[in-house]
Amino acid sequence: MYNKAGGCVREGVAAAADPGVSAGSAEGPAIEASGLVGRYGSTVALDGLDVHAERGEVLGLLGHNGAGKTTLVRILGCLLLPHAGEARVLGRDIRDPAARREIRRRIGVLPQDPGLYDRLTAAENLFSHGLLYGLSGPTLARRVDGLLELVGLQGVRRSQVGTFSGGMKKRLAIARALVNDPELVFLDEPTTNLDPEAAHAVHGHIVALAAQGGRTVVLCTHNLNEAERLCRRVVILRQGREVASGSPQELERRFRGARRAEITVRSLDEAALKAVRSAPGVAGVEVAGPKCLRLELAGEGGLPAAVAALVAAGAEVTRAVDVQPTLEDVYLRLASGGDAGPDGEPWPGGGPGSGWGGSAGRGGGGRR
Amino acid sequence: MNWRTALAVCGRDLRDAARNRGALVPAVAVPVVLAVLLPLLIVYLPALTRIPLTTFNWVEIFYRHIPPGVRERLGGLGPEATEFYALAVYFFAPLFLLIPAAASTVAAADSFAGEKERRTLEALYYTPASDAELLWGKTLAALVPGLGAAWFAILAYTGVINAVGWTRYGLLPLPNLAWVLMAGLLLPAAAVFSVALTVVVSAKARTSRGAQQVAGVVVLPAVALLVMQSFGVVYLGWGLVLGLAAVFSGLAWLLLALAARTFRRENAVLYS
Repeated sequence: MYNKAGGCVREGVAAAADPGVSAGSAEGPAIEASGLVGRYGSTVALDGLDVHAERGEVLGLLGHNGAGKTTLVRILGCLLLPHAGEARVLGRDIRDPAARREIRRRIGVLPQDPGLYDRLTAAENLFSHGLLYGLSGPTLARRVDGLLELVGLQGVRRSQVGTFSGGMKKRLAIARALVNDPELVFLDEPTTNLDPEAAHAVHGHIVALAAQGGRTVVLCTHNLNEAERLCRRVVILRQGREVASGSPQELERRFRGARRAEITVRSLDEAALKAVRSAPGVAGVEVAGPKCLRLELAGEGGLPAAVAALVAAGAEVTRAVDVQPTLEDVYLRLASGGDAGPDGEPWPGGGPGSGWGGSAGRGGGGRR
Repeated sequence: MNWRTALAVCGRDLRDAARNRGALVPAVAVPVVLAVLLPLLIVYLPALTRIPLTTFNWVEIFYRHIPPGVRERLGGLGPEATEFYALAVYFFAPLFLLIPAAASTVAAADSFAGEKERRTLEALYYTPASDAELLWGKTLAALVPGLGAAWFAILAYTGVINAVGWTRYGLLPLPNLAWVLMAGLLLPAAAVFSVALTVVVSAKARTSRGAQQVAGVVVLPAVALLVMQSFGVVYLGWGLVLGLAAVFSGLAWLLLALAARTFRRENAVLYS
């Protein structure tokens, strides 16, 4: 059904206040997969991956090209069968042929390429897609109207899609993924190759989608702001395996590594530098500019001690900030296989040098 | 197998093809050339040039090999009318078997391979449409323009031949039993065969151009029939038409059964 603003709202499920997670369900998790393996010839795309998503959750899948995100969507979307492992999507076994069709009926997928029919109009694209789900007549017409309204394309409903910009096509493809009012939506890199304005518009639609109660969203993305803003939980993938999962804040906490700080002074001299280097709780000092110092802190009191030492040495401190790690920092370290592990924790899967390196048949880019 | 879903796939492809000049041109041009230009040429070229058709070696060979039974039926006609009748009713008949293949090639080759190239196939595969529904929908979508063009061509050809035959020789050569059987049985069977073969090739091919090249072999049976008839090996009477219809029906059924067993979307995208 559709709200007055034209947005579609899943029937019978109340929208939750938190866009990241909404009203759950007693029917079990939306996705429950273990040990998934997928190969393209000798290339391993998924290497024993476990994935779990609760109903109503917005789950982010982060990883470089080739990390296995698209392959995971293809397996969970019942387009590919895994070479090994088990998965249940919306409570149904993806290996059961009858269940595969039912799962496809209940999910929506935005593939990486919008895959729209350029010679058809926006409305025709949605209408013809809806027919494949057994929708027809006024029900389908109302749904198409509501979705075009939702993605702001009602004004161009009779225009051929070949005339659309990349952003308009993505928005239409998002609408198409919702035409069957799915319980679970996979969005595979929805903002890739879009200009900032178009990406912003698509973000808005994803926010609206995520805010609708009961609908589970799996978001594959390189856009860390998008993941941080929308996802309750993210899974970072590398070479077909999970290297970390949790809420963005939890990951930042767990994998932040050494604490860092930046101090700006009016002028920097040798005495001030010597003072800050000998301050308690300061493990390292890097001169980042004529007036800027970057510190690696060894303890909680490191930053105040460094500021006090500088002031005592006659330096005028104009700015001092404790640099918090972002999801981007965590992602860059984990997804690219950086050489530092989380504080006090072993690297998942054994850590660098224990089999993660690009062995034959695993490296390379391209979509996986 | 839900026919509504297959028809939905077919409907979308037809709508898309109707706006594709590359698919429309052969579907319109081939029947116009065969049904209108060719008969006018065979009738009026000799009149304009004052050279009898039998001067052309291939026509002379064909004319020489007309079976005695057919000659007896044409016995009361003059030589020019006999030539006209033999060419119009027998010689050009196999050409109409080419129309479904020629008119549908672009659409059939485009069915899967073209969608792969335009990257529209993945979204289609995520829908609940079964593999059989996709295959049937795509086959129907390619079949409709080809068969439609062939039937239209036969109707137009009948009109032109009868108009010319009546005004020049007082003859209404078409339709006869062989042509009725050809339009009702042989053409649909040959069309299903050629389209199904091209769609199957398209499902395996990476590009629609590649699919077109491989699927070009579908015209060979019609060409072979044309050549064999020219040399008097066979003559396209109702018995042969029925026999060919049975053979093409069997081949089409085998091909579709095989395709339905082997076509899997998992193999079509995928770990390849």
